[in-house]
Amino acid sequence: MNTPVANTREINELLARYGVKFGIYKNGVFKEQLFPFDAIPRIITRSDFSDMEKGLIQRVDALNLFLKDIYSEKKIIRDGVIPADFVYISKGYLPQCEGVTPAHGVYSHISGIDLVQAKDGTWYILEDNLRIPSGASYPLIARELCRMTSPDVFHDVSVVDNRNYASLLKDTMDSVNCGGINVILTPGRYNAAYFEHSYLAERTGAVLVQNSDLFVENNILYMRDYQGGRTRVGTVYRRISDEYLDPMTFVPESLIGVPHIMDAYRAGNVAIMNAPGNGVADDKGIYYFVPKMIKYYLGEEPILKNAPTYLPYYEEDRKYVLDHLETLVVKDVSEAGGYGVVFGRDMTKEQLADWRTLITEQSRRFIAQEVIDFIDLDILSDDGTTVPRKADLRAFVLSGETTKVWASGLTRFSRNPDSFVVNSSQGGGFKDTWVLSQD
Amino acid sequence: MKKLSFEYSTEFEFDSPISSHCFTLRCLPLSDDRQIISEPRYIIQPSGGVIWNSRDSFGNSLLCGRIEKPHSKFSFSVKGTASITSSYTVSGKAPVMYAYQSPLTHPGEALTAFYAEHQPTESNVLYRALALADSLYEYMTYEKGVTDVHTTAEEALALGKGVCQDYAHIMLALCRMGGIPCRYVAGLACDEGETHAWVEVNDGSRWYGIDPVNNCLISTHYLKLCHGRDYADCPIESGCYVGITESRQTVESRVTQ
Amino acid sequence: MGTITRLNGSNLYWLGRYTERVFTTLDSFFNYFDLMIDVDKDSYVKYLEKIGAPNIYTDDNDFFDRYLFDKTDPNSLRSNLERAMDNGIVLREAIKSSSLSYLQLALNKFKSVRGTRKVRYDLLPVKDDLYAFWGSVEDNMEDLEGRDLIYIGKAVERLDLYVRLSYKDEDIRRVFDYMTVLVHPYENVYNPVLNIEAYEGLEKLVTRGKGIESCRGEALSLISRLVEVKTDEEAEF
Repeated sequence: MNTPVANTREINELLARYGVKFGIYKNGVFKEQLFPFDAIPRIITRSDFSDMEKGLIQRVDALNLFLKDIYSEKKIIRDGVIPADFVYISKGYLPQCEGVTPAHGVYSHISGIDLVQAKDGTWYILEDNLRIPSGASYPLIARELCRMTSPDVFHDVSVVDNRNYASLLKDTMDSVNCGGINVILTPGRYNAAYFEHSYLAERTGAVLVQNSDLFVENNILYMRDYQGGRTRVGTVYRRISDEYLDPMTFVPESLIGVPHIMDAYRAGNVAIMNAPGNGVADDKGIYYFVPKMIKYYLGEEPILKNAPTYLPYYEEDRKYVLDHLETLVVKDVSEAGGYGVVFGRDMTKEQLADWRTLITEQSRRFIAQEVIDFIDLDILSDDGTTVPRKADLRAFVLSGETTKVWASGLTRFSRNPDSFVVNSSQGGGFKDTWVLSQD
Repeated sequence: MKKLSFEYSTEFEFDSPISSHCFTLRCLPLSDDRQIISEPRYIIQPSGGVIWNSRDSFGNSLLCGRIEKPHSKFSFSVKGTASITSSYTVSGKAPVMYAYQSPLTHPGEALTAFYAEHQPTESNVLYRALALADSLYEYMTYEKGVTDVHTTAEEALALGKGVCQDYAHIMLALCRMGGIPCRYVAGLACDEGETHAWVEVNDGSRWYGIDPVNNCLISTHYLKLCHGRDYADCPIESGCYVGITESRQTVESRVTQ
Repeated sequence: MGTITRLNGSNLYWLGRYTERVFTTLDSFFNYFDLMIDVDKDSYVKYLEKIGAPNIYTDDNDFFDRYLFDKTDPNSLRSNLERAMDNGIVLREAIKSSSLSYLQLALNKFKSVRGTRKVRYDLLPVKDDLYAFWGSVEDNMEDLEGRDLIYIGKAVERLDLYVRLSYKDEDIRRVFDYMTVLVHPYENVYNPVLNIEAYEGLEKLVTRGKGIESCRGEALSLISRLVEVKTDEEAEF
């Protein structure tokens, strides 16, 4: 297969030129580093993508219906499909969002759904990220650079152009806009994803703002500009988490939030992307129930599979988990970014015993999953040979008036041969994801 | 039916001026089928800021505002009259969230042990709650200055001392452990110079106001300002501003018949 | 208009100042460096005096290395370029990635050639990058007042450096006139805030034809008070 591999040097030079970086804190010091790029793309066939696309739209639509239900009627609880405990004990459930239904009933406008492909070709959902999924900017700019350095490859292979991400995102912002400009709210340049915030602002024509650029009056959100004027804001694509969003409603000590933004949101005067309170639906515990949600809300069979998951909360599952801990992976439902993930096979006897006790005592806190033997992808090593590494795929699903899947995605790989964890915060790299336009 | 007139004011004094001051006040009592409020009037000082009405997801009425210019004093006062139609109960079903422990009520060892020892046996929800209030009243000592607004139910019970807010939090924790949905209430009461806190428990169709500090059902002398799962959901005043300073708060309230 | 936030107003101005500072000091450094080769190896001392930077260097080689490349030396060209980048990076969507990339290229150049003796050759691309940067800003920025704010910063910095480095009166006058066109001295503009008294004082000095060098201190003090960028909100309320 023809790939841009031969032009790795040029691509890296361009990545450096355009400052494609992410920030990381090491020993309390902020450092920006290049996000290691591997020029061998992940390739998804047209028919494979078409199935995946249907499955992702189905899943995200169901998740949005779930969020709407949870913050209004709660039918799914009343009908006994999901135990109330899993909703109300979740840290992501925010009573401060009760009774608010945003435009089109969409809560998760940008969903980052993480998948892996098993050796038999089956795709499994690893987790749903419905709060602030990041990473779309990297394959977006990487494609642009690869097309600069390796035009012939794209002439010979028919790849769906992924450079429409900015217009998909802009359409989503416009479709929920409550009147006013679109802004992207960043915590500031010392955030890990600052490159992405500023790059997406540039590409979508949104204004990149920090909290002190914004203020609320009469439940309307405004931006202050440098000429002393104010402009009404209709959509906020916020890149700060729920708890810091509004010091008047959530953590009062927040220095990066916008006071009263929740009042403007509740009054229906501004769209917040993604909606606050989404954490209740991407909780690792709720993950278990997503296939049930799809059946409940859509009356359909789930197209994409969950990894086989056990909830120690249920006695039967707990028994299985305790008996098979050595072969399972245990995840703390409240952690994100690859933290709080432990493999039974890496544990000593004592650790296994400790974990069994912990799981028994705090059964709501953990889920356990079968370890999927997923396909390794080749990456280029420093000496130019290829080596296999674990990799996942974050698919981006955008929901406004309709739900669309971006025909690309962020493929992250682990640079460490023994690691299954592929997060950028843990030293992974990324690849472009090609969806072929012809079979 | 009782007619109450109420007056409530709070003043903050800052050692050095603050600016860009944003605030949310839950000082406007809301009408329901127990209390009907007429002619509520408020004054916020300094003037010159922007003030507007809003509402939170718990159903409380909010006064929001922003004062940009530097100021060293901030005060608000509200006054009006209320017709109290019933002494301690108001109709309504409890949203499910009130059945669950909230950040300030999560039980630890002290609450777990206390509940095990004082688990009520009554079948009626209200009687069960009152029995819990009894046990709590026997055990706790009212004392000011030993707890603050961040003190959890667990911490207050372990200490054995506290003020109305702590009594309310412990009561909420115990009721929720016993499966009784309940909420925190902040308000005013006759004979209290400051604001008061109590709880409302729900039996599936009605809320009942219980004052754990005085170990009684609330009476027509109580006026509710706002409610939430616990104190943190519904502080009467919350604010943020630019400035590094200490502040002193003075509260005055008067409820008369 | 109206798409650049309040906080970023001063970033625009300082982006102009720092890019200009790197450009003009590099240019002038090259001249002094040329003298240092075979005329007077200590001529850098005079240079430092002129631009008003402390002489913290042990000798000509130390100066040569640290003044250009040391990012822990706050007066180094590298440090000034980093500051330009700091201001630029928060303006990506206003100035566009293409403009920002030229600053990145200049910075990459500084990082990669440290240790070289042929700086006038090796750092030549930095001047190219800065020219390209200003051209890219000119072409790509949608907010014209914001763009002018960059150029105003650039003009003020150039005035300051030209006076410090004893440029010819006519050069200084040209920069002054260029700045005048940009700042609309007698119009009521919100940003930047022009100090009319300082402006008129400076106008007298540059137009009287008596040699600006003779009143260098006064000119520098007027320049330092010339322009300010408001970022507070008090004026509005």
